[in-house]
Amino acid sequence: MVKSVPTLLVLKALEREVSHGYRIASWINQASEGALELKEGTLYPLLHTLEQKGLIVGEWRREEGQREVRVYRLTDRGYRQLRQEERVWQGFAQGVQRILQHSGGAVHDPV
Amino acid sequence: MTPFEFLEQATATIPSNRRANSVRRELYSHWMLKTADLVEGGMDAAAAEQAAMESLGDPAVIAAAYHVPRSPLRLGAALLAGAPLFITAVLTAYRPADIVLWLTVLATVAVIAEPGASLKDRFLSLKSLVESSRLIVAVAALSGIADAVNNFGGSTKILLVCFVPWLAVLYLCWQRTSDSRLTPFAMGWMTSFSSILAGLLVFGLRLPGSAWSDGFSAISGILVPFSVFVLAYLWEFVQWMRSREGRLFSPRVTSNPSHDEDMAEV
Repeated sequence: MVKSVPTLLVLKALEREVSHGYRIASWINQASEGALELKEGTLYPLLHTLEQKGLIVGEWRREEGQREVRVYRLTDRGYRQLRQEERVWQGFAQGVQRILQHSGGAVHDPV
Repeated sequence: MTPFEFLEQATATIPSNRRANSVRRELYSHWMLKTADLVEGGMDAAAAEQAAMESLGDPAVIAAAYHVPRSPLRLGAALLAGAPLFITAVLTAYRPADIVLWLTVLATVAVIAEPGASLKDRFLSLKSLVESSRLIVAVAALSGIADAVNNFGGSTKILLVCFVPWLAVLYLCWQRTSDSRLTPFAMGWMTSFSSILAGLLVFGLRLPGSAWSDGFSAISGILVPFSVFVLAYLWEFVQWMRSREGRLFSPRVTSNPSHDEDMAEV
């Protein structure tokens, strides 16, 4: 139903700050209090797909006293996509929540 | 398994060496950061390296995620178009444009009519065919030269024969630098060069002394692969411009000030 949850998570992580793959994965894990984990097998191909789509841009950067890392930054297009993904997810989550809170039985009273 | 074996396996499905190298660097960087975090957490260095590698998961899963299904017709279409065209053109000096036209049409029909394929598969196959058309046009140019060598005088023969190794070297370089940042330019240049050369040769040889029907088949024989090729070139060029690799114009970034923060937390 909602296939783009990893996309939403990655875009949200990058809205916060310029970041590299490891920190994106760590942030998602920490921000969800350990509930969500984005595996590397999903994360890196996704980052590269988003880059190809122009939603994020990546560049190699050498930190002071650190090794070189590839950091990603959200583009304007990525920012708009994030807002859209958020709306889709909120609609989806509200729908699921309504179902979970439903007491059961028929949805509409018989006339 | 060593980290390097892991990286090799994880990127085994990426066709471009340059891209595979970039992914390996990125995964290696991830592994190093994870190792450093674990060591900082009090773990022994060797154990931390091992644990960091295990946390990367199965390399086959990463490799599968990067795997892009390519139509087996890609190689088949290239061979189908290339070898018989070249041999026929050399042996019989038959109009290469006609052969290119019919092979292109047949290959396109074969791709579109691929049994049991989904719409997406058909699109991917068609894309593969477009990619393989590079070879069709290059071979058309070569066969045009071969045709010309059979018909032109001595000095022109020498001039044209000099072009053959040059074209071959350029073509090989072009293939080997596939996916490099020069690709769109190389493609565009080769497209224009091959097509114009093939067009000139075919027109030069056929049109003056031939009926309009010959001229028409020469035009369509060149225009069909040329159009396919130009479309492929434009598509790759647009993709390239959209990526940051080109850097001719980078995508605009948001004005969110947090984006300018440095990575102080690492």
